[in-house]
Amino acid sequence: MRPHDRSLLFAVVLLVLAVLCLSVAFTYPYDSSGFPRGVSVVFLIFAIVHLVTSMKDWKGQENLDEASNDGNGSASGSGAGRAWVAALGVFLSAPFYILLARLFDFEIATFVYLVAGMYLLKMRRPFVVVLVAIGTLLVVKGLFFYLLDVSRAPTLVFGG
Amino acid sequence: MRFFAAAIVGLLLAAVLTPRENEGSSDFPRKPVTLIVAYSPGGAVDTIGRAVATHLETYLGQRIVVRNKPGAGGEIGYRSLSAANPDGYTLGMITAPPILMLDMLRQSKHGEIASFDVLASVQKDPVVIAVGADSPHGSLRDLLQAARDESSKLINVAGDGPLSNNQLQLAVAEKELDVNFNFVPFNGSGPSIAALLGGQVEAAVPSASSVTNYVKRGDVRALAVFADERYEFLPDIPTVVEATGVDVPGIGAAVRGIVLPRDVPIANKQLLADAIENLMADEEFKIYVRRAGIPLHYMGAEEFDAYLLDLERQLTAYMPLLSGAQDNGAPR
Amino acid sequence: MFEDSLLGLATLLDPAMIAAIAVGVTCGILIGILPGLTSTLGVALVIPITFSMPPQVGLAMLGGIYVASTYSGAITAVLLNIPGTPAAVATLLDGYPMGRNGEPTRALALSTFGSAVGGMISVIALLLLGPALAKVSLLFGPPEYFLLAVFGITVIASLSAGAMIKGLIAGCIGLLMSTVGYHPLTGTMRFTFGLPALYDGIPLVAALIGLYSVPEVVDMIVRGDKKKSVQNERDRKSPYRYLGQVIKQTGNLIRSSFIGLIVGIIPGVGASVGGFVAYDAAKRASKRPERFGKGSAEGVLACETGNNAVTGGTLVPLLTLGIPGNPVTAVMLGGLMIHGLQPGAELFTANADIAFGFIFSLFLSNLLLIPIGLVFAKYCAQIVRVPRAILAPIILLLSIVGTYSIRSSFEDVLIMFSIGAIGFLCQRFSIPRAPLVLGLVLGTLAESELERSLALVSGDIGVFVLQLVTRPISLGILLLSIYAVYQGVVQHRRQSRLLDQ
Repeated sequence: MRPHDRSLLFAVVLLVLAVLCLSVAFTYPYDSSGFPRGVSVVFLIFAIVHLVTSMKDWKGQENLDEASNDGNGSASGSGAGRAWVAALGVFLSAPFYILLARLFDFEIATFVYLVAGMYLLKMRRPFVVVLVAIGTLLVVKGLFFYLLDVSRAPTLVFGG
Repeated sequence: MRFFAAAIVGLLLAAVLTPRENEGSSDFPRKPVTLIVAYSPGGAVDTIGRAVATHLETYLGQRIVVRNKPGAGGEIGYRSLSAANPDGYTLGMITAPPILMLDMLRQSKHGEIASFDVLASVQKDPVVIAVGADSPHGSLRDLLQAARDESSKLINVAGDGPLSNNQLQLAVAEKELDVNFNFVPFNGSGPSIAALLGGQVEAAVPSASSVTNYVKRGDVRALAVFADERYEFLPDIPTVVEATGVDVPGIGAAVRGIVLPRDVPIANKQLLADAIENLMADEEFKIYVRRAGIPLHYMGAEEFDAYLLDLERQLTAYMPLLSGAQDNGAPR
Repeated sequence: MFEDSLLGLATLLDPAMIAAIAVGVTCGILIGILPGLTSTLGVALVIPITFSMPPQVGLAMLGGIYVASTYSGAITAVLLNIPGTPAAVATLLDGYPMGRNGEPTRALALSTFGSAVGGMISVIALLLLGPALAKVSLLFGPPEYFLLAVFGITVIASLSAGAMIKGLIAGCIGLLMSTVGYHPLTGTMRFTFGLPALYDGIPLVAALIGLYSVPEVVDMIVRGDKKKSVQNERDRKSPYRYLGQVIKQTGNLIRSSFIGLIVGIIPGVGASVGGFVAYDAAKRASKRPERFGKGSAEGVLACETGNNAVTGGTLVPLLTLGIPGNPVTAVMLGGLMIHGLQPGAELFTANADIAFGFIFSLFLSNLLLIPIGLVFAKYCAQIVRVPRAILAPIILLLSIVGTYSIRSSFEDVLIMFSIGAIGFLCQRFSIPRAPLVLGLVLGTLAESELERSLALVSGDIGVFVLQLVTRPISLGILLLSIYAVYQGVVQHRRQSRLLDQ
């Protein structure tokens, strides 16, 4: 999908979001939803304006593409794709960590997370990876659980 | 391959770093005890919780660590308390009626008192009704008279809210005294008092502990306290029955106590209860707390239990007032 | 009062005080750098340690933490485009671009000096004008706070210059996000979908970590280790060389401090708003507003001066009236009470040495944050040399643990990542995030005070509107807002014309 296609799609998504917010805001009783309703309406108006300008830009970009006979899309195609993959990886890492922390304990979860992260990002020199992982683990552990007295979560395997 | 070998070694090392519980002598408590406070640091519950925790250490022989778990009006902390291991090493501070109100308003299972075993109550902080220093109302009767005046608007009363014990107390008072106020929720007793000082509202229903200094300085005039006895730091302020002749139940008073999750071994429970009882009788502790202006009120386990059951019964009768009061808040 | 203040000054001669201040400042800087850790957490955790200390020493340490943690978020903002604390969000706007342009030392120096000056000016104001300011603050009622929130929201338009519609949409999204949780007056739950973790609304710190850390990490992963512009020749080695530049901008410094002070006195607002409003004011007053957003020195200085000046402002209602306006001062109030000290007028008479000692210690804290902060900044600047493959997982891990540590909640971590998705989309589609943050922060204030104002007149909208124009302070703020909007439109037109040319 080319960048300007994505922008148009995003503008549509924003409009849908605005409509959703408005409809949910109306499910709440009148007394408690004055503000969300008002803001949703303003949001909707802006979203419509945004969609209109996005369509104009899209049209303009289409014309430009036709004129220069460039069907390949812009150079940022592959770069943009990588960003979405990276983002997905980052987001999925959250439940991964939480699962590990809940199942085992904070130390193991942290170590595995860091090692896996570095491995996936192509840092595979074993000495460096283990040193960094253990080092960070100790620093974070000391800082959060000893100095700052944050409470540890109960885990399945080790209790707590 | 070397990578994975190193990773496994590291993993074992990480596992080894997992803290194990150090068991010292064989008697309870063998390790530090946790006190879960379901409210933010610096607040009233946190203050009494920390005061008690710091001094209870000498009676228990172990450190007591206060953990704040604020959120959802206390629900988050209460849930985590009932999910805690019932070995006696996790205690919680509760404040009633809010914990009971939570249950009734949200159908939240873990707010039920039935989920906890009470150890003792340590504090009772009643609601006070107050006006500004230069208010025309010299007494509660004056205020009520002005409130009943049909020709003028409703009197604005500031208080912690929404759906707080202060709001509850005012609602109960309105019913028993047959009067109507316009309750306006603020973000705590502090801001309510500020609104009173600035003349933004005509009256306020702050907690007694928060308003004491202002009354002593003469910045605020307290008209009555909603309790059976006069408040210890404000002995000149009449109770509501003294001021009006009508007995308004003081169920809005914030009663704070220490509880355990259910099914803690009886021996441990007894040890904790005894430690608290001894602390509350300790004269030095009482002097220290008094200096800070923190009110103390001790009730043993049975007494506290009975109080809470009675409170629950009365709440069931009065809670519908709050839903009615909700409409009173911002009618449009 | 003069003799009493001398008593306070004398307490500073105690080496324990100086040590406490130094320790407090150091810990505070560390807290501000790490994601998820805020001044509130730092102060709350140090309070038990202060029990065994004499009160003024404990307070001095707390003050050091407060002041330093408000400042040090700027370090990660400049170096990594991640605000260490909410206070530093506005600093991202010009601090990070300046760093990327090859002048990170300059950005850090400006931030440090600005913070110190802003803090010191606000402490002086606290000392000399405290009671007077408190009296004025009592005159502010719900209508005034509502209008102040509206004024703050108009700053959104200024932050959106160049992408007006997108910025306004971001502002709306932020405002809507602020409504998540219970209604401030009726208690009805909105947008919580049955999750108790959301009952109190979206936790601001978690939202900021999500909005900024997550997209930045994604960007890091994609960018790889391409040659980052480190320093170019224009950037001087020693940050102290920039002191001259700072001193020349007296107008900016004083204006931003004043703004921060006022913002601090308003309850429930926070240092981030101080930074934003000061930034906005600097932009309006600047002769080169088009440089803002691209690395303007005035912008960086305004933000950091403004956000640190907020600290002094928040202490005005605490010390003079005993009313805490934000979570940090609420914790300090608890700390004062545990020591048997009652805030209010008596604090300055009965415990004058402690009260004045505290105020002078704050002054010293602000001063000390220059050397200590710059040392930290120098070492932190080396972080950008670390390979991405190592840095990215570490930052993510710190974000996770930091978010967890706010309320010991994993749900908060999930919320943080969800907002991270929003942040990522914003970055992808060029939607400015600053307006979103401002909406999120100010929305609660705006809604609460609007509802409260209406409740005070029993819902009569007509009377409420009348109040806005008849109450003197309201009228003043209303006129100020209208003027600000007008000026913003004029500037926007001028900027568009410049771009067209």
